[in-house]
Amino acid sequence: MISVQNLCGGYASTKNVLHDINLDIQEGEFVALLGPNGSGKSTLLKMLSGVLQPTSGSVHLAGKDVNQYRPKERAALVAMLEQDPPFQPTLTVEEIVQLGRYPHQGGWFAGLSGRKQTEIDMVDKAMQWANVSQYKHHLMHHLSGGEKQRVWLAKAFAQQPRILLLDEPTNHMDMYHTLDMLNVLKRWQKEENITIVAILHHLNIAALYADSVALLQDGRLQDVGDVCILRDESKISEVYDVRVHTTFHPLQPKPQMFLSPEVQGMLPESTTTFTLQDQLSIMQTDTACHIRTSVPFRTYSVALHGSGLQWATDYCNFYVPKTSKLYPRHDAKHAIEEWMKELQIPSHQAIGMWTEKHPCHTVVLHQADGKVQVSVVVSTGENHAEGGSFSSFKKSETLHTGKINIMVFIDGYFNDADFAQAMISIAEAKEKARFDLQMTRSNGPNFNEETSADNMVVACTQRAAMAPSEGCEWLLRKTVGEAVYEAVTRAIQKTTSNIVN
Amino acid sequence: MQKSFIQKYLLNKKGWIYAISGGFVLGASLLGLFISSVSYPVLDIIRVVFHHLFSIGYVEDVPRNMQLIIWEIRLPRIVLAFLVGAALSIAGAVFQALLRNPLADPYTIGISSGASLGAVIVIFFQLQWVLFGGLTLPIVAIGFGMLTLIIVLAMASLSGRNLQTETIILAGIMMSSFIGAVISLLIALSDANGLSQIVYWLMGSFRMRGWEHVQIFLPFFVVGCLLLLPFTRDMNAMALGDDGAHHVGMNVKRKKILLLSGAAILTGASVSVSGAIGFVGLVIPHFVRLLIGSNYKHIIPLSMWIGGGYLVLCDLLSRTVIVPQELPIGVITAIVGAPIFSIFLIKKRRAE
Repeated sequence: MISVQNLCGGYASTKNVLHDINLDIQEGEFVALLGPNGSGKSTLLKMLSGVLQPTSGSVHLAGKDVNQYRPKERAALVAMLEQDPPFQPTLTVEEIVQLGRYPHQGGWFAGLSGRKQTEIDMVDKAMQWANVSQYKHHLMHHLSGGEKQRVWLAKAFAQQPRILLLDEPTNHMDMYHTLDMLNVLKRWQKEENITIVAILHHLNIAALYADSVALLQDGRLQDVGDVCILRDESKISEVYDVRVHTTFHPLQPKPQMFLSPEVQGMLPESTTTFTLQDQLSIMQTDTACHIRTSVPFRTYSVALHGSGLQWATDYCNFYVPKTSKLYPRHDAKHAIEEWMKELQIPSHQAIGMWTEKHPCHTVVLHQADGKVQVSVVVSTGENHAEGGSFSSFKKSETLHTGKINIMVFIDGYFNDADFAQAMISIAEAKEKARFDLQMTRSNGPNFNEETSADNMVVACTQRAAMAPSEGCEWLLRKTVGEAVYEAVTRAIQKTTSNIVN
Repeated sequence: MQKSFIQKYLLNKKGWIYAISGGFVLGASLLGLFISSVSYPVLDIIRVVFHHLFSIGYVEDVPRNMQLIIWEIRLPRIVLAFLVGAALSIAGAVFQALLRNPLADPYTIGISSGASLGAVIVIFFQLQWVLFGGLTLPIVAIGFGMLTLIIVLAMASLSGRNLQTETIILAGIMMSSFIGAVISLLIALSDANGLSQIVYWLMGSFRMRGWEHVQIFLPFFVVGCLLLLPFTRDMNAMALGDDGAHHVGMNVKRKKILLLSGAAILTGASVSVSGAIGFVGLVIPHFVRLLIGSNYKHIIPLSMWIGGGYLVLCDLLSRTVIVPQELPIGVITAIVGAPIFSIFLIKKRRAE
């Protein structure tokens, strides 16, 4: 649909903004033009629309050079949404949209053709489509930014183009209007199979809506292709000269980028003066073990409250006797939120879990091995005998452990895989401890039974300088495993002796 | 249902504005016809006009000199005042649309200065009766006006792509200043008699204008209107900016030249027959905008009616205020118009 060949050109004849651009865009494609300010995106768009003449090379639209079209033919093929139109016409919305019919109306008697029913219907349809019919008789400059942009869109729609060019269509728009605008565009693209070329500044928005992207830098095309090229962190970082971190949208198979501010330091970058233990304030009461960290830790957890990957500052294990009215039988999640409220813990950055009964079952262990520092907090639930209920507890030969909740705090830098690795190490160490003590589990591995599983938390300082080097990984795994094994063993022994006594 | 009601209301409102402005023109013309230093019976005046227009009725009992005054002096003067008022208002509206500048008026880009220079040269060198009899001055003035337009357009297109608006304005101002200086030079060099003639002419007047002036003005008026009236849609599109107009499919450069030429023809012809009358071309389009909005589909025809009617009224005042003296009409348009339109503007803006 659009074919750009060896395009060079700019505003002054002596200095080119664009250098040798080659680009092919298929019909029905949504292409996002990306690149830093001054990279030539707007210039390229101006040449695509024929406002600016190239010094060399060509732009072909639907097989014909853009500058060979007669103005009205061209406008019936290409519509353009300018970035913040420099003039604020004092026309009404309807009058603006009517201008979109310009290319479809004849010359000298155009004033009359505007009265034809088909023309009136088309203008009404465009206003309805862009949802601006209710502003029909309002003056353009009385509308908000988002509404104005919709009016321009309605005007473009009335033009019935096959190609739509947009220069930062969502500039200065809030989230709602940005998505609204792009949803409308996307619908248009799907329904009418129009080709869209848009300059977008939000890479994440571009990744979500565009089919492909063209990356410009200093007037040259750096890369063009599927949105997946946005996964290339080093390329994006190079083009925009910022450090980006690429992940994926949780619900869409699209890359999403994160930026980091220059000033990071909540924790010291070097290891020399840093002690992990000092960052944790552990508060033990009759009802809970509450750990607050001095700064948010990157946390990966399987817990009742605050599961998944996040940043957290508060880690709680509540002790709830089975006899208590508070014992969470049904809505444990909600119960935990209530308990947090009582302790005035900000629940949106907290991890919450619970074990049965008593506080003395918590073991805190700090361990350091060379560069690696680990703190482990293990809470165990009531151990009890085979078949024994809580009220009629009898001594028995085989003991079952109740829940074992483990929190591991690590000084280091973990990526997603490291977190998963740590989880595995913790689970293995826990089971080994249980095995070595010849304990079986009361809450598993009977998968049919509806019991709450053990909870696990890995929290990491995420100090950038601490990214695990190749040789360090096994050390970390070893230290975590050993610490967890030790702590779990002690915790189980403590509980057991408690029962025996 | 509600929508169609609103639509009807708006249509009706526009209909009323058109009807009232039509009535305004008719009323102004009749007043201009009836009121003068010498008063005649209204019925006789109407009979004379009808007799000459449609060859009906019996006017033998009406004195010959009265017939002459009505038909040869009063009526052409009214017709010419209307046409000039209409032409200046249309031209003002077009310049404002084209240059996207609310301060633009028919004199902004120097056409009127050029026409004035032509007239001043004729007066200075006493050429009034040389070439075309009494019409030498208007013909030379129109020629100079068109020449100025060509020079301005040439300057603008030489200095940049696509006839940029700012360039046109600058070239026009340059031209105006230059020509203004030449006119001042000629004034400085003239004797007392020539001086008063030139100054009086520059202030504008319809004194001593007859059907031959209407005749020479009418073709330019028709051509100008033909070049402008069908293109109100393009004037609206100009509000999108040059690029915006390009994007909706307008041939920007060609339409600019067309509209500039149309407006320049109207301006040059007006200045040639009546001198440089100020205020009308600047303010009437704004007044119309306050009435009906910024759609040139309505601004152009309404400016034509209201501007024409307004100038007829002003001409009436200029010849009746201090009889038997006549005031320059350019004085009346502003002295009467400025307060009226200021009050209107304030009221309208406060109501918004």
